[in-house]
Amino acid sequence: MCYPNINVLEIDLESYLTDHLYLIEKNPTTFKSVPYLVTTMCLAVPGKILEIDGDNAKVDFGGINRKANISLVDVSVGDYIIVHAGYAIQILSPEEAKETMDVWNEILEAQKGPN
Amino acid sequence: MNNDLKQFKLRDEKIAEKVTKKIREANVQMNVMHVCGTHQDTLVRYGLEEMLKEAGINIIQGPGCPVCVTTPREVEEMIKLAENGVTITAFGDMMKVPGEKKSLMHAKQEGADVRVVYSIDDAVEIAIKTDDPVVFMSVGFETTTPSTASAISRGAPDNFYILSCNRVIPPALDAILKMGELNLDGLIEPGHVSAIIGTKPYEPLSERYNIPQVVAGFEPLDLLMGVYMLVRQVKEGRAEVENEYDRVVKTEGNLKAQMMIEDVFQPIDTDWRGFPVIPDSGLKPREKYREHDARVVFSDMLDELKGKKFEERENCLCGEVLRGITEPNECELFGKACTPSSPIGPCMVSREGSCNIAYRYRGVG
Ligand code: SF4
Ligand code: SF4
Repeated sequence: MCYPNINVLEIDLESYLTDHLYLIEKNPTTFKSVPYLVTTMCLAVPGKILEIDGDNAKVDFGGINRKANISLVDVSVGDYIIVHAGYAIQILSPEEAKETMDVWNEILEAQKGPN
Repeated sequence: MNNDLKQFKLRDEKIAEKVTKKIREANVQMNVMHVCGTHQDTLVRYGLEEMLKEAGINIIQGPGCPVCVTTPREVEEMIKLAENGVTITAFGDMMKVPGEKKSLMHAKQEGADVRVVYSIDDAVEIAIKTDDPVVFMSVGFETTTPSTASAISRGAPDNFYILSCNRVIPPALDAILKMGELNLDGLIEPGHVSAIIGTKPYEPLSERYNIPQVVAGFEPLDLLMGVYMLVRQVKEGRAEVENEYDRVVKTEGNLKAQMMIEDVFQPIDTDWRGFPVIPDSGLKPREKYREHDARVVFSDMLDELKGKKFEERENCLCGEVLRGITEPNECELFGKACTPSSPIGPCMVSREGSCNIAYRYRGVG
């Protein structure tokens, strides 16, 4: 699909992060020292699991590695997760994104004809 | 045009155009409410609000941010504990939220032990390293509540307590629809709350109020798409719950997280800033976890606050802003006495508050 943020796992993390993580904007040095990705109250950020150690995992957020608690999800190394306030809240699974895919197709199909 | 908008246009201009075109072609007038600070941020930052307005869609922000709806009482409870020598931990967003007279930030400046944490696990760490009592201000909707539930149910140290300010979204939506102050034709449901609860809890609302709902993600195209899906429902005469954010949100939600919430918390009637008491919209720790419930353990310190009435700051329209009936710039304090660096109401404090977002992207006036 054309819109990478919507349908593939290769999320455009860099722009996602600069868009949403206010600590980076405000103070890059503080950001480096914080063990979690700091988000506004309810934002959650996608990342990939690198290592698992009990309830905690090392997670790659587009090149920045941070820890996340994985007690709320059943995951293994290599899975993509959504992390909020230091906790993985759900597994990211584009294969299941069928409902949206259909509507996207509807919109994009409709445009294929003569303009 | 601001930079972000340009970036969005460069990135997705064509597709965004296509979706907006479809919305415009549908030729419907709709009032759409969302209840999510992050949605509001995306809508304003990328100028979608205006694009949609031109296409006939009027977007209204409801009580979207757990920080904003935290009541002065809850802030005062934390301050009371801090003044009694208890170590207080809270998310950074809570620090500047005004209680009746001051915020946790003020209490800290006056010497109280108030610490910012990024996760409840940080707060537990602090408790492990000391014998003194440590209280975590547990703020959040369903997105955040599971982390508190997990920390408590996995076994927190004896000197660790939570003050639950946790709230749940579906009863609040029901209350808004019941109040009927707004003429709503569709709801955009918050993606990350829904990642936990799934899509089922919204179904009774569509049945009861005959209103279309779409769960949406937080990228600009997610929101345009969400609106398009609402428009399509209206066109086809449907009022259902649809899921735009299905790459994250499953129909049944996150069952493990739901079980943990269920294990640790029970529903209670709670007021929200700007709202009267909403039945079953709050959460309190169950009896079996009472030794971690700050309201139980420190009831002697908190007793004084019982039954006390807390007034909103004079002329602050946060309550109306949270109910979606007033725009931030209609408040006479907006951008004058009230700015993000010295906020008067909570809506100016949090990055997800309507007033704060309006100030940052739209400017004053
Ligand atoms: S998803 Fe986050 S920003 Fe949106 S309503 Fe929930 S807590 Fe607020
Ligand atoms: S501008 Fe300030 S005082 Fe006015 S409603 Fe918003 S937060 Fe309250």
